[in-house]
Amino acid sequence: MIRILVTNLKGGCGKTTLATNLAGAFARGGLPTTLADVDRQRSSLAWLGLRAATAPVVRGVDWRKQPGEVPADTARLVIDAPAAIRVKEVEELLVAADLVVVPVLPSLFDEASSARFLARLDELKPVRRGKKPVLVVANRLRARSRAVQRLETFLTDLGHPPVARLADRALYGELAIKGLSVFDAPAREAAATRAEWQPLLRAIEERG
Amino acid sequence: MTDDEPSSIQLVETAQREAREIELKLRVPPEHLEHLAACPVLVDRALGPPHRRQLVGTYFDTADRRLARRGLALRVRRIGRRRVQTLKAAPDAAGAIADRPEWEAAIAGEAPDLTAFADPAAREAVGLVLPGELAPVFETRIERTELTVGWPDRERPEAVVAVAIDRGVIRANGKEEPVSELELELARGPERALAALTEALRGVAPLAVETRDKAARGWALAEGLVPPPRKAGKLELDPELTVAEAFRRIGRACLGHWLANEPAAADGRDVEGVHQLRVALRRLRSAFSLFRAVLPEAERTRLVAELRWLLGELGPARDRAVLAHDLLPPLRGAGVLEAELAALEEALARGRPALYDRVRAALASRRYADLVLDLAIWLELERFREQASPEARAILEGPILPFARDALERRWRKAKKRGRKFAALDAEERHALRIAIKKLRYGLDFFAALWPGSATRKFARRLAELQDRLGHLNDVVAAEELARAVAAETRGEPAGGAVALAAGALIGWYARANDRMLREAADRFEAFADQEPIWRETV
Repeated sequence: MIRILVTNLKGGCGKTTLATNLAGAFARGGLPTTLADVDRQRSSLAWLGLRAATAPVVRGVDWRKQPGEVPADTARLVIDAPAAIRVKEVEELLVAADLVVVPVLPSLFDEASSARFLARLDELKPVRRGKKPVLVVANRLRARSRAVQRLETFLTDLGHPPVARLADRALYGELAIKGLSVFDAPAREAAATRAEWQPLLRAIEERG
Repeated sequence: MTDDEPSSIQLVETAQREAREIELKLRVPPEHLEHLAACPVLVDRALGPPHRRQLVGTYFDTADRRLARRGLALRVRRIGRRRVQTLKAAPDAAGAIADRPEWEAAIAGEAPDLTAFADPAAREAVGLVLPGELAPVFETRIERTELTVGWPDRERPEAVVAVAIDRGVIRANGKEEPVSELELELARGPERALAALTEALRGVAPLAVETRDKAARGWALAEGLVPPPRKAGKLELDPELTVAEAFRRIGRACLGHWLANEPAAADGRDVEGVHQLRVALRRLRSAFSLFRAVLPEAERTRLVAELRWLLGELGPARDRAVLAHDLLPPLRGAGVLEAELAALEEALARGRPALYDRVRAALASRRYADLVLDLAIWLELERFREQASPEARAILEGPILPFARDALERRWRKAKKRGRKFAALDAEERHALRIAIKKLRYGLDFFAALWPGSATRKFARRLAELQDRLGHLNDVVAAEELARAVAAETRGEPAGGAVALAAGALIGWYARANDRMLREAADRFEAFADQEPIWRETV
């Protein structure tokens, strides 16, 4: 089993979109997948509630009180951390994870908090010792904007060059209301989007 | 055999559905295949009539070759109307016998369906593969004659071996390579049956251990991929083992390390292949020396002589690689003799193909094939035990722990003696010390598992540090020898003068570092010799 914790200090950075689409990818690949929701807003579980019966199964577990059991045959566990989480809580959740995925937006307002968060994350023992990799995803990018270039430089300077770059697309929202991921959409609509996810999926599969 | 015993063909199927495949693969000259299928060794022991089948196998991978990089091979085989999908993982190096996880599932279409594997371990081995990512890479077309053979064993019931005689081709990118081989797969019973059957079949046709399965050969043909060089694996030894069993395990671990590096050594693009193969050979030779007292003299001497021959055939390729990749680079960029050093480098590169031709010729020779098979059979069937004197046999059947303790103690004493008055040693005496240290190191490599813990790791680290410093001193000697040889070869050529200058510079460079290395080695020796040997602890 590979356990993936999706987290950032700030809300609204596309954390749940990342978590649900990761779960969708693993399920599409035929791997028994579980989505653990720690967020008070239950967005991940809500997504599961909308999920079409024809889509590959993703099981949900409610971790809002505390991390708990997952179905025994789980091959991939995606943990959707709460928004506005404290580093101490991240540390607790990290025990239940093998690696961390951090979505970051190309926004000046986000940079300072992301920098602080990544620095704190790097200090945590399992991360510091290289036991649990941190994968940063540049999220909701608008093609060729100056902000995108800034984000790239900014993250590289922090020692966390983005593992994947995901464009801002209406497709995510259209699929989410049906409980679907880009991996559930017809290939001709989603091929380019799915290609953006490949480096992240690859990195997770190689555990960093 | 009872009436309700399944037919031979069903037995084969059962063996294939199991989660492990234990197999010995042998190369056979094509003109001997027909003859093998009809030989009494197989026919007289067959549990049913032979079957002949046409097998078409297609191997799949993702565009970025994720499966191959994980050491996996995914095949869809057409057997009449049926489609069977098989996933094989990289084999453990267990001597000449390949022991690997294998999963099999019936599927409906021509394309693989990873969800068809019932065992979650198969899916976990592959990792995430999205629909449509898998595409065919190469294919095998095989005419297979198969029969199931019962092999008597001193333990009852007898072993059952699925024998496959394969003739066909591997095809990739419009290229084709012939297949002519014999596979012996253990359906049940002890593994030694594979060695015993092989021994009997050597009288029927000239055989050689095939170190590459069809998938490995397919990858080589399709994309020039070669299994990467491998280091020696960690050896598990239990203090309860007999001396004989410990020797057999050490021997087959060395042979496994050797054979795992054969493809990379023959390929030659990665110099590490020949290096690792030579490490395996030296470890094996060291095991022979460690167990010298209990091994039958005649066969031990013969096998060691053959190992020495093979080391010799591989030696020049390795030596030149050391010169080109280890010894020469530190001089480049020092700002002197740049053109001359480049000329030396070029001379080394020019000489390389011929040296690897020699490596390949040795690995393809009858002598080599016989050595591998002799060793594998001698180890698997514990022939060394049958040939042993009564005194030796008593030790062989005793426990490994006191034996290992004595062997290490002897080597430890010898190393300490050779290193006495370290500062006063001349080059020859230092060489003798280096050899003594190396022998202790190999002995400890094999036996360290008997004394697990941090004390052993620390002892091994100090030993390695000392060996490293002494190795540097040896580099000086090697640099001189090699540089002289290259200079002699290029004498009279247009670049001869430049090469000679560079060779001189190289020798000087290493001679200059000699003093410092000597002091360091002396310090390390003291730290090392002051230790309490780990094997004495439990006395």
